[in-house]
Amino acid sequence: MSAPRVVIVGSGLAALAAAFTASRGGAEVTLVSGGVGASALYAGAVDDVPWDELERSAEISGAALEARPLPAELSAFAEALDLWRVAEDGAPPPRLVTTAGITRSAQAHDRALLDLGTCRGRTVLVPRAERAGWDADSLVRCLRGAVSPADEVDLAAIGAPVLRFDEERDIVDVDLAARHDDDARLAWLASTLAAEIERWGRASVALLLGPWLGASRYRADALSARLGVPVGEALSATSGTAGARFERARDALLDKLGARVVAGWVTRVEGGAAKPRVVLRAGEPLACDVVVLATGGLIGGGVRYAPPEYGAPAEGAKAVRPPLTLSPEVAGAHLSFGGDHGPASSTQGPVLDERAWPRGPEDGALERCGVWVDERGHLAKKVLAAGDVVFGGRRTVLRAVASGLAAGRAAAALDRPESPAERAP
Amino acid sequence: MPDAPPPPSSRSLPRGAADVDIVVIGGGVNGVGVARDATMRGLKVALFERNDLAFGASGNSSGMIHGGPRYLTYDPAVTETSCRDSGHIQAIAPHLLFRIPFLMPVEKSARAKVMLTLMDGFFQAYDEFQPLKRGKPHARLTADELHALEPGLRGDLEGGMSFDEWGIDGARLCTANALDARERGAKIHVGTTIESIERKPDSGEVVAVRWRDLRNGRTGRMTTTAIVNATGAWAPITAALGGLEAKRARLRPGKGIHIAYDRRLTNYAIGATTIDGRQIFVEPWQNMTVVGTTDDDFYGDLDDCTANSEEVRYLVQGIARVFPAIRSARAIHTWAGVRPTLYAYGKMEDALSREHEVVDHAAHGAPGLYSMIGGKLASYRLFAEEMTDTLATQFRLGSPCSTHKSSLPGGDEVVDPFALAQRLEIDAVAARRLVYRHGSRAALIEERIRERPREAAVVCPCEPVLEAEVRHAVAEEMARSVDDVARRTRLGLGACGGMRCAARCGQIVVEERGLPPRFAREMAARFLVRRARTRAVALGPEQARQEALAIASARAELGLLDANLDSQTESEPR
Ligand SMILES: Cc1cc2nc3c(=O)[nH]c(=O)nc-3n(C[C@H](O)[C@H](O)[C@H](O)COP(=O)(O)OP(=O)(O)OC[C@H]3O[C@@H](n4cnc5c(N)ncnc54)[C@H](O)[C@@H]3O)c2cc1C
Ligand SMILES: Cc1cc2nc3c(=O)[nH]c(=O)nc-3n(C[C@H](O)[C@H](O)[C@H](O)COP(=O)(O)OP(=O)(O)OC[C@H]3O[C@@H](n4cnc5c(N)ncnc54)[C@H](O)[C@@H]3O)c2cc1C
Repeated sequence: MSAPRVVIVGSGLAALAAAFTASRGGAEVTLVSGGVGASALYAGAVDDVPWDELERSAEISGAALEARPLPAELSAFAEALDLWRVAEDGAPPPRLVTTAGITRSAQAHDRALLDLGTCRGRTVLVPRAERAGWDADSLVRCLRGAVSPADEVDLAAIGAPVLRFDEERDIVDVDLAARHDDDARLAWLASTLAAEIERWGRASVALLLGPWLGASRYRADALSARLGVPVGEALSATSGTAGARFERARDALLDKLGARVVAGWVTRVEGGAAKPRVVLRAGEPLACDVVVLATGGLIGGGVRYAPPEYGAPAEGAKAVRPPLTLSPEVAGAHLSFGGDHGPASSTQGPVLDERAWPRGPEDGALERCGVWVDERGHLAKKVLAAGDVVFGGRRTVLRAVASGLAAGRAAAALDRPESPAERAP
Repeated sequence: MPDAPPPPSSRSLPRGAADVDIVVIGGGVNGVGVARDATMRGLKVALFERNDLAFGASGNSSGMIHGGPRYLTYDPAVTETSCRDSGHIQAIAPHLLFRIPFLMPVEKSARAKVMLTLMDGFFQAYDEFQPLKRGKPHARLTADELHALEPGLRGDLEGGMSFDEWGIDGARLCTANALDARERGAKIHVGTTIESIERKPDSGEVVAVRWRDLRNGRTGRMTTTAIVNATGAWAPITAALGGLEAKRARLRPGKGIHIAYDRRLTNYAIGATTIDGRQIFVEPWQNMTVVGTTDDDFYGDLDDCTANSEEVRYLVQGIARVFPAIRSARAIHTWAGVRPTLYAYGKMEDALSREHEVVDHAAHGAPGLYSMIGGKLASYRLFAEEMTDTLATQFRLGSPCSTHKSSLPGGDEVVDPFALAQRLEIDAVAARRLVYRHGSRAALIEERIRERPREAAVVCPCEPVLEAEVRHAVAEEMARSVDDVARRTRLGLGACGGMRCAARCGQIVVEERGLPPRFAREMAARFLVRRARTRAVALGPEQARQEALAIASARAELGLLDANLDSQTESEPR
């Protein structure tokens, strides 16, 4: 029996995770990458349940936050990706610092981010840099208010230069980060910081920088080795630096897995009894045995929201179209905002006025919207879905990865005649 | 009737008999206008604003300083007065006004030719008064000429008109008046609500107000000789605080909304008609485009009034008929305000009373209490003058109104934004905006940057807003939160909806105000969630995607589960 051919649509974390288990299961994997999604824009923190929700329930129950062990398969994936630092079982979870001036926990994190837990008993030095969005003094002031006595850290802004050229005041974060991919440049950075660090004493300080420590590889460890103090980035959700590092690590892993990668936008997936076909906007359709849809939510582009008045002829829509569509189109797919956001909630489309954003512990409709799947992850016959494209659940890295791993595993098991995929709705 | 109040005109109020001579309730354009006028005439004034300056209709209007063309048909004298006053506003705050050239396309129909001829005659009459406000005469245009001016126009057009109006940033107008009043000695209390109006049990005369600072809960009492209720659509509620029946300050609350788009789609304001025949418009606003407006009775919570998606759809459909490009733009925010329209129109011979009216509640047994009902941004100065004239008579003051003679803060001198940009080595757009908002007072911000060059940092890259201006807004312009800073500087109102600046702005506000740092996060998250609510009603395909990204970013960097993000009152230390 030949290896099942699996086409994975998407190139985010869910797609990569599916490629990982599908390859391991012996499938022949083709990944169709449409471009940038949530994974390439994420901030470097890795959660299972959204951190703000965890911290709030811990606050209410009075229980201490604890890192939970990753399931074996997730651990294996994280190890292969070689991008994150995962907290040890039972240890306090990492405490990250954000450019918004707060501290937050995470299950795991991009290795370049600073974990305050590694800075106990130290003063975290924050170099000033003339860049929009980076104000060391204000960050220090806010973080001093944000850390608890239990963190055992202090903070201070320092004047040591971190920008080498004038234009570096204005280039975007990820470009500045890319400059530190270069060893000579990193050596320069270490040398400008060394004197200040010596002055404070190596044993008593750590170093916090913006999202600038490498775009294709994480450079925090290299800098830390040169300086002899803990070094890391502040988490920034608008920089794209951590996302850039994810994309590099993903490409390397796909390479290792021997997956074929096709660049293109998928417009339609034909499931059903015959062999599924994946239709691209340009180029030949791909024939295969099973499809994994990992096209992301609204951010990734897998789910689109277009209320009837948009794109309608100037005279107004005559027929009411569903406001949510799936990209690629899959016959019979059912999308939802959940609850009261069905197409009938107004004569002209859903009213998101109050529900688009999260409110208290309720997640927002825009976070939740997606395609319905059955309990085994099937969206149609021979079509599985994973990650943010799936309705409900939380939009977090570990959820995307876990569902991707499961979908890849199920896809590879297709060659067994009475496989779960065959029994799909 | 022994206890009947004396007729209003014969009463004389003593000056200096209480903590203040006048308490003004409401920091909209009418409230700050009266505070300025009365202070200039030598009265001791305290103003209380429950939310923020320009929080109500004044900061949420279409911002047109028009010359009252609609009075032309029945009383050209009123149009003349309106145009003259538009000219006065221009003279005292030249930096705040900008020209809005209007195009009024007329679609082909059986009546189109007649319509055009009528409009031509109408605007010809308006042209008579245009020089009073430095306006340009109208032009009758063919369909081809209209398309040449604005290629984005669609529909089967017969022709149209162009005419000239002026626009203003209502929030800046309020801030300027409040600053001037304060500099002349008035006390301005923002974030402070009036909870009750005390009156003498026997004569009914006003004695004092009781106030509460909504952000820290502090309360107090202030004695006063007269009270001006300048609370716009809140006026009936405010009158009730003094034990009057709400109908004594009756008005029709007419809610109106606007939608702002992420880019400048046209250089003209364009009039359009909705499916039910109402006039609406699309207009350029700096680097954005604005669509307005609706008019619906509103009996909801005035302190929490936002646009809804039905209203947005109604406007978009109307505009798209003549200007379809609107569908391709990204809505970046919406705003809503409630007009305090006069309930019953006044006598025909006095057309301006159709717009506003000073109510002396002595007639209702409450001497010393006055309500300003109705009004327009464009006529605020006149309305304030009328109100203050009444007060001046009561206080037996001889000094006449001079608010049209002395400049508002920043309006005394013309500043060259390009020279400023060069001196400070800042972006020319940033300098242009600074000069627009502050006029000659941009010098104060320049001074800050000279002393602390780091304050030239751009906090809000979309608009753009410099750190020095944010600090200035808090230190000098009474801003107390990120929302307040946004109202004064437009920070966070650009394409990214505050994603890139709310946290930073919160930190600055907290630092300037000496609050514990944890409030920075709460203020920022609160601002982001409020902004998001105003966008959610206008989501299209691209907006929704951007919105989902904004939620993910805010969750990652700030967390969105603060318990009281939704509550109106913040909890700050006393
Ligand atoms: C700013 C930000 C901060 C975040 N912070 C955190 C955090 O702190 N903690 C946490 O746990 N999670 C966080 N997340 C969430 C997390 O990143 C996502 O849940 C996860 O990356 C989703 O992965 P995915 O593979 O399902 O979707 P995506 O990464 O969106 O991938 C979808 C992919 O499908 C492609 N695609 C879509 N449609 C098509 C088509 N028709 N044809 C071809 N290709 C297509 C897209 O181009 C994209 O490559 C954050 C996300 C963002 C954006
Ligand atoms: C959609 C719309 C478009 C408009 N377009 C134009 C236009 O283009 N041109 C024009 O000239 N006019 C326009 N107007 C009209 C104009 O904006 C208003 O008439 C004018 O701003 C009213 O000002 P105000 O000071 O009376 O009321 P507001 O600006 O509403 O001020 C009232 C204030 O009182 C405060 N307040 C209420 N209760 C209390 C209390 N108990 N204690 C303390 N403070 C209190 C509120 O917080 C509020 O800030 C428009 C109005 C709307 C709604």
